[in-house]
Order: sequence, then structure tokens, then C-alpha cells
Amino acid sequence: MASGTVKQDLPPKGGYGPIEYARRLPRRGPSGYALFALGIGVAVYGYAKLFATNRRRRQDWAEEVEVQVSLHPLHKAEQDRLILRQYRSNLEEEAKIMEGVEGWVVGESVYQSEKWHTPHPVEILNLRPREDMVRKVYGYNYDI
Amino acid sequence: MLSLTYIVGIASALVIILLLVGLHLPSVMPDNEKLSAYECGFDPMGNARLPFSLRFFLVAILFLLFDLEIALILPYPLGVVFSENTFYNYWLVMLLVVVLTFGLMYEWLKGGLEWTE
Amino acid sequence: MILSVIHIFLYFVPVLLAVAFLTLTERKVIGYVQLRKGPNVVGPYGLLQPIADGVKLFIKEPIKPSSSNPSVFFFAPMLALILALLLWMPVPLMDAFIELNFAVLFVLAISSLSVYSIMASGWSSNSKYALLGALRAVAQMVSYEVSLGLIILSLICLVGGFNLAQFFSAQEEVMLMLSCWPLGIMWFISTVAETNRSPFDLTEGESELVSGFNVEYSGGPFALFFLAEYANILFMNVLSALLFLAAHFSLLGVAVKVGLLAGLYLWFRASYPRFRYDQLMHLAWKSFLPLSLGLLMLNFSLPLTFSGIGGGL
Repeated sequence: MASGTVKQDLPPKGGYGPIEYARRLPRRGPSGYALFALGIGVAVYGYAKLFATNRRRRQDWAEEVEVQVSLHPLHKAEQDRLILRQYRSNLEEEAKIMEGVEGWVVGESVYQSEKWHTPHPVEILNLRPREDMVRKVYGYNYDI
Repeated sequence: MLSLTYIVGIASALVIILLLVGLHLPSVMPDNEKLSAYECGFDPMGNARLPFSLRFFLVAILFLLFDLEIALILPYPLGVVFSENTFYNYWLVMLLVVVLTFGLMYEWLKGGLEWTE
Repeated sequence: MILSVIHIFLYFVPVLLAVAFLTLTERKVIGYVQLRKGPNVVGPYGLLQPIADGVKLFIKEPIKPSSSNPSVFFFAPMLALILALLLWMPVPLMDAFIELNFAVLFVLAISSLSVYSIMASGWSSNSKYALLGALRAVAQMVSYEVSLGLIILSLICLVGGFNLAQFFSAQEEVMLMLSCWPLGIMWFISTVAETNRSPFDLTEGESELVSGFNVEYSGGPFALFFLAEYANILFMNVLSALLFLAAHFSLLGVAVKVGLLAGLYLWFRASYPRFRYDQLMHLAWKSFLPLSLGLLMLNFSLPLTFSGIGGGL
């Protein structure tokens, strides 16, 4: 092996220059206070708009409820008329079915008092197919 | 039937079908090495049912408490919308939250959250 | 009845398709972040890769370890995927499949149930690594569920009810992200932690636990866990977009916002190293919990003070 002619990777003559190793983070951009102010300002604006929207929603909901309340007697009267019509049709069907049976009084009430009670759909729709009863009980879900 | 029943039923059926396909479609050739528990190539040493560390238990208890707090506060938003004595409700809920916050503070200062793993 | 079955499938199949292509998207995006292309061999631009992955997983031999409890072992991935699919049902993207009045409660409850599947899989695998991974995963998910629940409570008080459709009408003028941006950021990070996703993915830590509670699974059951995890990720993104970013005005808006959030998840995975476990717990119990408690108090008192209680439909 020749001794002075091997090419080696040596530092340059006179050594390396000074190495800068200090951290130099640039101080730029908005300050902390400015960022806080921006965040809180955006939040305040958002809350203000949200509360205005909520107020409007509550007013709209109150209006819907008022509409339902004002129409309630009319609705109830209609439902009562339908119930009475269903009772009449049940009576006629019962007369038709139990025609020759002895000792059967058509339309005889099984209760002892004459008080009116709003019948459950099971009571009055028992002569119709089951879907009618299911639809009456579960069909209309309130959702304005 | 409720729609949710249908959905749970159909989802379960779909998943069971997928699982059965995955279990019966491939050819299963069990081998003693394949079936042993994994321990980086060695034979498993000792029982796998470790006694678990107490910190997990502490985390579970903390979760239980805070989840119960959430469950107790859950009716409050609906109550706020539909009630007339709102401030009474509000202060009761705030009492609950404050008591639990004091509990959390106590636990923190006593080191219960310290090496929570 | 046949029609309703077809209706349900028309909801499940696109979810599973979306999940499958999310896996491809993840690999491509992470690849491009790392200055390489993701999979592009299988189909044009790698579009058939998820199908190839699915086929591969389902023709792999499903190993039932000799020391495991078989019924629980095969029940855990079933439970995971059923819950992940069930979570999607009340989401009102345009029109919910089932309109639940308490959809938010439903979502919280089902997310809490999915902790069981991880616990069951880890315990029944009867292997030390799986058990440790499962314990850590359960502790992590459970800790972040607390902050999830508290943030949801604040939002519910601002909006006035548990119905997800009410979030639509409350965000008609401004997004909730504007007013509740600290809550939004905390919620987003909590969902990243809840779904065991980087940088919170100690439970699947490949270097230390070799896939954690999944270690004994292969083939079909592993595919179910995989699908369940990605379905949870996509669902959490959709929920975040619904809750905070007012994503309901148009389907394109929903898609863009959900896509941006999912892209954030992938960006997190590509950029951040994993949390240490005690740092994770510190974040949950000492940072997020006190902050969300404080913001809960704020969000309960602000509507009362400024007469902005939510309500109505």
C-alpha cells in the first residue's frame, strides 16, 4: 500500500468555519392576544347567530303548537263522528252475523253504565282486517 | 315490527353469512404450530390469563362515575326547552357538575390520575 | 317485507363499499404523502385493490387457536360489525333510514357497546399479547367516551334536543363550528382516539403488540374487524360533519366535508408518531375532561343568559 498517495476525505485547510447552532425561530404572525381575540370574537359572533336562530325556531314551534291547539276541537269532533260511524257499521254487521242466534240482543252493551268512553281502536275495528287497526294505532306519527 | 328490529335482524344475518363464508370457503388444514397462541415464534410460556393491573380498574371506575354523571345530566337539555322554572333546574345541574369537578380535582391531587398507565 | 329487506340492503351495501374504498384511499394518500404511489397495480389506479383484499381475506384459512374460547372468539367480530352497521341507521344524510328522536343517545350507546367486542376478542384469544392489547384499547376507548359524551351534552343544550334533524335546523345560518370551535377540535380528536386510529393506535401498535387484540384472528373474522373499524371511522366523520360543519344543504356539500374530515384522519396517520400510553391517558383525563366540563358549564349558562335556548323542530 502506498503511503502518501491515498485520497482521504479530510477537512479543508484551516479547519471548518463557525457553525451556527442557535435556534432562530421567526417571531411573526399575530400575537397570542390577537389570536385569543380572534377566536373569542368568532365564537361570540357564532353564538349570537345561533341564539337568534334558536329564538326564531322556538317562535316557529310555538306557532305550530298554537295551530294544533286552535284546531283541536274541530279535529276531535271529526274523530268522534268517525267513531260513531264505525259503531253504526259494527252494529249492522253484528245484526247480519248473529241473525238466527237465540237469545242474542243486537247491540247489547257489555258494560253496566251508560257513560261514554272513547274506544280504543281494538274495540271498534275488531271486525275489520288487522292492518286497519295497526294503521290506526301506529300509522300517524306526530311530526309537524 | 319496528324498523329497528328489521335492521338488527338483517345486519346480523348479513354478518353471520359473511362469517360463515369466511369459515367454510377456505380449506381448513389445522396444524399444531398454526393453532398455538402467538408469542413471536416461541412456545407460549405460562397462562395467558394475567392478573390485570389496578390502574385499569381505576380507569374503569372513573369512567363509570363520569358516565353516570352524563346519564344524570342527559334529561337537562330537554327539560330546559320545555320547563318554566329553568333557573332551578340549571342550578341543580350545576351543583352536580361542580361536585363531580371537585371529585376530579381531589383525585388528581391525590395522584389517582398519575400513572393512569 | 321483501321490499324493506331490499331497502335495508340498499343502505348497507354502499356503506360497505365506501369502507372498502376508504382503505384504498388511505393507502394511496399515505403513499403520496411519503412521496410514493400507493397501490396502482391491481386495477386502473389500483381501484380493484379493495376487491382483491376482500377476496384474499375470505379465502385465507380462519385459524381458531387451540387455547381460545370458540364461541366468544367468533362472536366478537360479529358484534363489532353489527354495531358498526347499526350506527349508520339514524344518520340523516338527506333522509334517515330510521328517524330516531333520540338519535344522539343511540349513537353514544352503540359506541359504548362496541367496546365489548374488543374486550371479548382480547380475552377469548387467550394470548398474553391479545389480552394486553385489548385491556389498553378498552381503557383508551372508555376514557375518550367520557369527553365525547360531555361534548355532545353541550351541543345538545345549544341545539335543544337529541334529534339529529334538529342539528340541521339549528345550523341554518352558521355552522356550530364557529361558535364551538374548541369543542369541535376536542370532539374531532376524541373521535380519532375512540376509533383507535393513529396517533392513538397503541392497541394495534405493530411494533410493540403486533396488532394487539387482533393478533389471533385471520381470514374472515379479521376482515370483519377491519370492516368494522373503517366503518366506525367513516361514521365518526359523518357525525362530525353533521354536528359541527352543517353538512346537510346538498349532497355535494356533505361529501366534500366528510371527505375533508376523512382526509384529516389520513393526514394524521401519515404525519404523527404514536402517543405513549400515559400521554394518551393524560390527554383524556387531565386535558379534555376538565376542559369539556368547563365548556359544558359555559354552554349550559350562555343560552339561559342570552335567551337562546334551542327548541322546536
